[in-house]
Amino acid sequence: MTSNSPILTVEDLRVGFPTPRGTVEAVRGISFAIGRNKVGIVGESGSGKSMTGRAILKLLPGGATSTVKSMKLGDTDLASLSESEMLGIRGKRISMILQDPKYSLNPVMRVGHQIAEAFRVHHRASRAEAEERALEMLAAVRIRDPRRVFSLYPHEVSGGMGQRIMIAMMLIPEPELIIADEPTSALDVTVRLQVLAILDDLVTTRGIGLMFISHDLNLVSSFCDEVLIMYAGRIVERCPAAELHQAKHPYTRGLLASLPRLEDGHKRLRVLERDPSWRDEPIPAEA
Amino acid sequence: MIEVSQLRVAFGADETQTIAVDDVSFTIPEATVYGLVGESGCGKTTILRCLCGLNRQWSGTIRVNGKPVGPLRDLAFYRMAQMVFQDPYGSLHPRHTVNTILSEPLLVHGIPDIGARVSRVLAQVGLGESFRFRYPHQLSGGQRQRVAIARALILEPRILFLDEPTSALDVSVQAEVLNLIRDIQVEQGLTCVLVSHDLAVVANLCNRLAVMNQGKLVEELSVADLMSGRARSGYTQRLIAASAGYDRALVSLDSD
Repeated sequence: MTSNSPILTVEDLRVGFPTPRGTVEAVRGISFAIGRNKVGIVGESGSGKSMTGRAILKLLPGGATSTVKSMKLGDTDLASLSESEMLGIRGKRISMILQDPKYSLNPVMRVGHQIAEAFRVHHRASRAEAEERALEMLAAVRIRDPRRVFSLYPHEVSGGMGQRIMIAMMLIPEPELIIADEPTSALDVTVRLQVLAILDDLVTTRGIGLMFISHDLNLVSSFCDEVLIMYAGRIVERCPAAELHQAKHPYTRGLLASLPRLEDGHKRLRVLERDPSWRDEPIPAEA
Repeated sequence: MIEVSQLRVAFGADETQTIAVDDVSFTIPEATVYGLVGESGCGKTTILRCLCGLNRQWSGTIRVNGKPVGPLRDLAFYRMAQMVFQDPYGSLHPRHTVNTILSEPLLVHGIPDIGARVSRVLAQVGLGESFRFRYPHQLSGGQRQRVAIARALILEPRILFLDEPTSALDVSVQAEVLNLIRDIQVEQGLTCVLVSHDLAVVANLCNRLAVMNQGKLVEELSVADLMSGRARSGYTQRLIAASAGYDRALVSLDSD
């Protein structure tokens, strides 16, 4: 595989929820590819961005149905894999970082053991070897005293530290792709930047693909390489992150205009007017 | 309108004691909006809870409208000062209609003419009569926050306490709610205290703000100073830089 070939390609992904009044589609036919870069998926609540992330891992809530024309991780066809085959993908080749470390770490297990367990599930290794790897990984996420943090319980660590532990746990099986669903929304601004910098460094040096799901336009435009903007279950615009502020779609422009800005002071904010035609207009082709 | 001097709040006792607010003083003139900014655990919400009477364990002096107030407040205080909470999903009773939610403050204060007042306040926050008999689950997040604002406004208060009023909302909805708060504040000459972690939201609504860190007031600055980045303390400058977005070059990873 050359370094430019995409890690993940998804074509025509749909997620639906059957209801007594017919199926409600949360994701309505989206296609994208993620290479060795940081791809941001932005949208408001209900736009289908989280469902997209979960559909890739086939971790949809009960009752939801998903169809996809093709979904490939490298040479593996994810769409055709059975549930037991997916166990070899989840965590090992694609891992996921969730919003709040408080709810995603096991509260009654020392964090170091949780990281070591993540390694041993996917690699044949002795306990001592796995713990050695966990300590190395804690150092890689810039925890100053890995040995001390190793034996802490989740309630003993701060939010920023918890999220670094999550990153360590997700990176230890050496995945090819990380799906991060609002990984820093629960953190304070200064801590957020540190966690992002750690993620940035690891993703760049290890050549991992990152799918970064967020509602924060400013953050995505400054952190990611490429941005996909989702509205009502579809991608309405895609552009390089640095050019987000020259976005063309009226929805993206409306979102940007409704953000308060420090330097604008008391200026009245523009309110987004939604146009019903956005739901079904043609989707822009892949860049 | 509000004067706070040497406010101190401590939780716990002996060696486990935490000082949440440490010797904080500020003054808020009438008809202005004052922002309290800082990261989680800095004491900004605790100050707001002392001001509105939800936290009774404090020392120092708080003067509202010229008169000193104690830990316990009377009905007249709540007629003058009302609060809007962060989460519109949690602050409205799920089994009360909008009409019941809005009538309750009037019943508590024995104010007549309930029907007409509810209609008027609904119009004021941009919700029509059609919302009057709905339940909270039938409203969107933005509409719920409008109901919460209406509930605060129905007593025609002179002070409004706002605890992160838009942080649970999408950006496009946040813009609507911020515009609404600004319009009402200007129209009625309300004095507001806004707690927020988002500097851009504070710049949009406030006249002055206090930056807090670890229970202490780091500095007070005007919105003009905030907009042009004229902050004296390093902590405020770091906050301003951090809220501008991600820049790998600005983040140093040497400390934990």
